[in-house]
Amino acid sequence: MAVASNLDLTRSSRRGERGVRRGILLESLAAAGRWKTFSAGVLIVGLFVVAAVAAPVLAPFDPAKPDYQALRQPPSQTHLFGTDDKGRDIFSRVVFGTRVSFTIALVAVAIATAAGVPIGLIVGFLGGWPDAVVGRLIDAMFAFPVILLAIAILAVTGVGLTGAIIAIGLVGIPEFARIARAAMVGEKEHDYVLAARAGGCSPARIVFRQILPNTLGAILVLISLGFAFAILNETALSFLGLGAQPPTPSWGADLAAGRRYLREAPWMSLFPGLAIFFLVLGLNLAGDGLRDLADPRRQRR
Amino acid sequence: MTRYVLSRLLQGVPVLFLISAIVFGVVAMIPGDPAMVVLGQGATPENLAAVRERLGLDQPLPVRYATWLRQVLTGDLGTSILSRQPVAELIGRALPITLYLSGLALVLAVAISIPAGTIAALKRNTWADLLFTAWAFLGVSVPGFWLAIMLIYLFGVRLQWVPLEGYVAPTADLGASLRTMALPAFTLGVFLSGPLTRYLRSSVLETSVQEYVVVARAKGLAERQVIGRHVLRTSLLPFITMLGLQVGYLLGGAVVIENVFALPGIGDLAVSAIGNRDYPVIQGVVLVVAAGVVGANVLVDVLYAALDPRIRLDRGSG
Repeated sequence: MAVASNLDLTRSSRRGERGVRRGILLESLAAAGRWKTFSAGVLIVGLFVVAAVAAPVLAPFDPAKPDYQALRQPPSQTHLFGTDDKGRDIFSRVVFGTRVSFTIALVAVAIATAAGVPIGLIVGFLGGWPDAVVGRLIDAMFAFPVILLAIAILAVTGVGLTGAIIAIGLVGIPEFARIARAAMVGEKEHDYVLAARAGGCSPARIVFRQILPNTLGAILVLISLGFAFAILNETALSFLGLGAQPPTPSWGADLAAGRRYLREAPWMSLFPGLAIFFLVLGLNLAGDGLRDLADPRRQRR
Repeated sequence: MTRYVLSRLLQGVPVLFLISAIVFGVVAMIPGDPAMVVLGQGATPENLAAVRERLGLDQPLPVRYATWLRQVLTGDLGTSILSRQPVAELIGRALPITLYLSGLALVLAVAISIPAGTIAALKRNTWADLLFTAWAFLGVSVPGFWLAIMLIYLFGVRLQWVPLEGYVAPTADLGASLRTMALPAFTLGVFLSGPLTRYLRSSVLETSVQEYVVVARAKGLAERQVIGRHVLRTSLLPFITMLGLQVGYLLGGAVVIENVFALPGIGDLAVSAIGNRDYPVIQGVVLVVAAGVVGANVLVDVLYAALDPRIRLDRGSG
């Protein structure tokens, strides 16, 4: 905060009293804006959650049932988003696709969290050579572009939905470990850790009962941004034909199918992509808002 | 300075070893018998054993790793199962196309993010800031392959300004080449400009409260000079490191974008290799790209030291 108020002094000296007052006003607006960012993100994500849960109620048609009387129809009142090359209702496919994307992202993020967070917390706490070894390993993992590493993992697991889930979960581990480690390193020097140690707590108890709750903010932000990352990569893999396979309603695979009919039926490509975009945007807004809310030091930025 | 460069180069070596071990380990875990792949279904047990011995598959894993590493260090990345061509040759043909695409995208991303990040920081909490922050958010949220398809529809199908897909080498026809690369480079550049803009914004904000900036203002320098010579120059240094960190991001994005625009780069090579279970090609591509990313990061650190005397004096002596 000291740094930030310094900035305002230099500003106000140029602008005078009014400048200061205007600064305060803008700041409270910005604070409200952060809540707005967070709420907007949560609202968008919430809509998708509703779509995933209530998919059978919301979707007017069976997403997998072809209708050869209605091939590649443009959006209309019956078919809100139009129909695809097999006459299937695109709106229904997008709604059901939410389920596929959420499932993949949930499991992948769970894998990355369950493996990455304990690793990061433990090596961060221990320091010394375990920290150095894992640190090097994380550095090395970061050299692999995510999609390429996922492709290499898919060579082991086999192409398909399960393979994509495992691949995305595994490639997320280094980032989760890195953030958890950083949070731990920042936390472990505090007096309450020393007190716990003096009180005779076991290291495991200190890490998971005392320190973990204080790093939860950072980890929650990470999970929310990790979700966005998982959705983007899952849809990319499915788009490349390496993830969800047709006829499963999947945003990425449906986009790949729509590309062949771009000239005649651009709506086949438009709507699944919009769904990905809005969900990822919502997750990013929620994650970013959460980060600013959780860390007051960042608020002035 | 020489000492710093050497020590930085040496630091890259263990990382490269780890990378090679990871790539080797992943490929070694692939289920199925490579000897079977070579011989096909009707192989006799004797033939299988002979091929396994010839390929060194009867050796323990560490020995196989050492043998493989020795080959890799001499530039031998194995042979493609599908095309029977050396993997190094396939990569040698595909890599320049990926680098061409990534290079254009990087130039575009820098051209967008330097003015955008600077203005967003200087006009903090104004409409301009909001606009650029929104741009950065959209850039990281939009799926690249979808943006690419929408741009193809708009500029290729509707307006017919650019060809739909395909690749023209810049040496063959520079104008046509740039026209085919415009959309892929733009898509990839937008994707990258988001994080770069946000990073530069916070970097400029941090620099602009430093005391020497206050002094520069106090001694009556014009605002242009304060920003250009004092604030931006310092803020761009960490920005260069950030650029280095984006190389992996850029190459990963290129994999998908190449697929959309049918550009025969390394992404295209990797994706078709996995479809054909051509593992030596996947192994080679992943290894070369990861090594390239490490190399780029070392290069950026050296460049950083060359530009910032504080770094090379500090770390070079340590």
